[in-house]
Amino acid sequence: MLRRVCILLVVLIVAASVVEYVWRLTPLEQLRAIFTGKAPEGAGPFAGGERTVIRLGIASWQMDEFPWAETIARYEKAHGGKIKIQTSALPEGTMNSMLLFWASGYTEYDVIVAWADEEIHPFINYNWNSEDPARRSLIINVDEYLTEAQLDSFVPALFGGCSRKDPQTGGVSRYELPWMGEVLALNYNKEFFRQRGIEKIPQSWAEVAQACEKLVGLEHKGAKVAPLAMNFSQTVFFGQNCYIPMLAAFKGGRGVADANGRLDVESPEAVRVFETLKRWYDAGYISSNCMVNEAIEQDLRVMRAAMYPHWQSRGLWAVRDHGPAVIGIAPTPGAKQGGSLVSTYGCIIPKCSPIIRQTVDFCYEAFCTDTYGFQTAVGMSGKMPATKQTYQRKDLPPGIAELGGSLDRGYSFPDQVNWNQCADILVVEFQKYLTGGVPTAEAALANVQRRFAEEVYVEK
Amino acid sequence: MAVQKKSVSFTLWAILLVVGLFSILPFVWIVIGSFKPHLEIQKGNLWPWQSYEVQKPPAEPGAQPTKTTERVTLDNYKQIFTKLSGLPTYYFNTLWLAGAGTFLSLLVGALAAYGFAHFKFVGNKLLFTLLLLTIMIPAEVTLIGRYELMFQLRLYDRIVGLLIAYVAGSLLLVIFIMRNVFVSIPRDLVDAALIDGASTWQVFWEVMVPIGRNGLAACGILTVLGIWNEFLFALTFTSMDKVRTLPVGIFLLKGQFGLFNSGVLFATVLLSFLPIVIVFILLQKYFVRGLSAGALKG
Repeated sequence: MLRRVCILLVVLIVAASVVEYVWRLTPLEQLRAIFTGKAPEGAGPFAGGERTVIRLGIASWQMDEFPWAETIARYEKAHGGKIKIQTSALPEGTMNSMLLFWASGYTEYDVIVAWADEEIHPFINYNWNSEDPARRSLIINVDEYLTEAQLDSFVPALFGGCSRKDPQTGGVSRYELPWMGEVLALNYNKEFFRQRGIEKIPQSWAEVAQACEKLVGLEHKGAKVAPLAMNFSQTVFFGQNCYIPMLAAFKGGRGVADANGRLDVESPEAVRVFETLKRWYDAGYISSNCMVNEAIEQDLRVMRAAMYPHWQSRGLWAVRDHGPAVIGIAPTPGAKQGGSLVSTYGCIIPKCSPIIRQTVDFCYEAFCTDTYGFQTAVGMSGKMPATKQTYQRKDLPPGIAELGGSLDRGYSFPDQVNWNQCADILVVEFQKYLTGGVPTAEAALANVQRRFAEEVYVEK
Repeated sequence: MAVQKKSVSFTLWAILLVVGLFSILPFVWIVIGSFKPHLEIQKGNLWPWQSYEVQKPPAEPGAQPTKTTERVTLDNYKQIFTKLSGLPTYYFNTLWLAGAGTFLSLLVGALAAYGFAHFKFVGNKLLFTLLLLTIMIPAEVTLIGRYELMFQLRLYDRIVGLLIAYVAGSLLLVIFIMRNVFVSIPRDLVDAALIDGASTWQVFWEVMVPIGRNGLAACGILTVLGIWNEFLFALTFTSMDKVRTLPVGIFLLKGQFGLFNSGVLFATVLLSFLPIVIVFILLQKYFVRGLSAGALKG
């Protein structure tokens, strides 16, 4: 009996495995097919047939934050069921592994909902100096597929992270269809401001320091409240939320890049940023959680910090917890002079997709307009909508419309390809300076410059 | 003497209690944390009797949000299915891999172990030693090679690819344990069966397998645990949603910038290891017997 069961199981496993190997049907799909009598849909692209299947890959964290399924269902219905969208969560942290597939002309996705800045640039870089535009980069230049009116419907600043000057034509190409942005803001607690008699929202970093001075020693329900939450632990957050906005403000609109287009770590203003942050840390302005990423991210929400310069979405999370009467969102200090840091999220379409035209049309209509309510949903979720028209709505969450006004003067990270590595070095050297391992800001920044030269911008 | 013995027992008992409490603490933490919202966990308000305020969205735009007090919530469990839309698929894939992988490992491994234990052939000991040596090579070292192999054999992004990798990885442990189990079975039993006219195939099924069932159960539990929790290969050898396993699925719960919602994470982890805990509780007597009846003795 036992032997027969074993033989039966072996046959079953081998049969299921062979079917999967040959027809790419997983055991679950096989089981479903047996019970429903229907073959699974869309094992590949179907262009020109009765129904077009567009394969959409979405980053896992975005899956539950935006109404993809509802939007797609409305889109499919509006197109009479002739277009089918297959959605799946992208493999985490392996965007670069797709380069291998896309470079060899194979894709499992017709469109990827990606992050504009550092993530997509390796895809753009491919064959960058080739004279043949068709072979340059692995993703399409959306300018070639959208009309002037369509391109004009986007908030201009959101193209900042995905634009690149074409080496042959000299024109600027854009490599994604933006659908959402994040803008740096000063998220703050109105209640704490009221308690300490602060009436004016800080508009410069000097005013932030004055507010901090008044907020020192504050308590909420027996727990200490820090005047300012700043993330000195997470590599990217230190660079983008502490160093860059302060540098931009100190430089008064001259940008955060040096003459080579790389992150400025040499100017006197850079030294001033390091010195200011350390002085505030020593004075007790900064939350003691600043070295613990998970904790500092929640300080504003759990009422342990009065101000939090970060993406506007962080402020809106706190608004959801405590209401707009308690939490306020204002433009980042120095935004008037230096503009606001913007991060864009968009759709990228591989050149090797067999249905580029249909995919561009789908992405623009479904995600980059409000035809199916997606742009409104982006705004309602606390992110920055990508289209100008959406900012006309009166029912957007507090702060979004106001911050949207600053998006004309947005800027992105300098040298996005190397941004992660640079941010990594920057935070490590800053921490050494903060904890006394390096005596001066000049010495700390000299270390940063040396490491940039040795580890990032190695001369060949 | 008796008093002294009793006090030693009490000391041992106390030590075991402390060790037991420490072992169970993460489990308790996960269970109670799965019923609390993320922010309360961050604040350290983990216990069910600690209440917290919940902000309900306003009934209409412009209205003030309302507040209620709660102690526990089932929201994390509800959110699992919205955040992890592929959860049933991940569950099935993991179940399939754990079931099929364990079965194949036990079958092939036990047969190989039987060969090593009861047949004399040239190079028996050398071959067994070589097999044991391969245990010392960490799987991570061979990862790139295995990836290349999977890619070349078109096994990338296929469950069968993972199945082969898991069976191959588990075989060594099964062969090692079962060889020792089979060696400990008296030779006389085998001889008696052979005299009664049984073939070597029948000896395996009628004598070895029933007597060595405790060892097989121990191997089965270890293999199921290994495959159920395996992360590295599943992450490296798959990219499509439909072939993902639970550990990789849980990894996808990471929010923007790699932040986790602790409550949802706890609830998912609890759901993911519950089946394996049940299997372990049901089979633990075989597991203990298998390991204590010479399974791990040389």
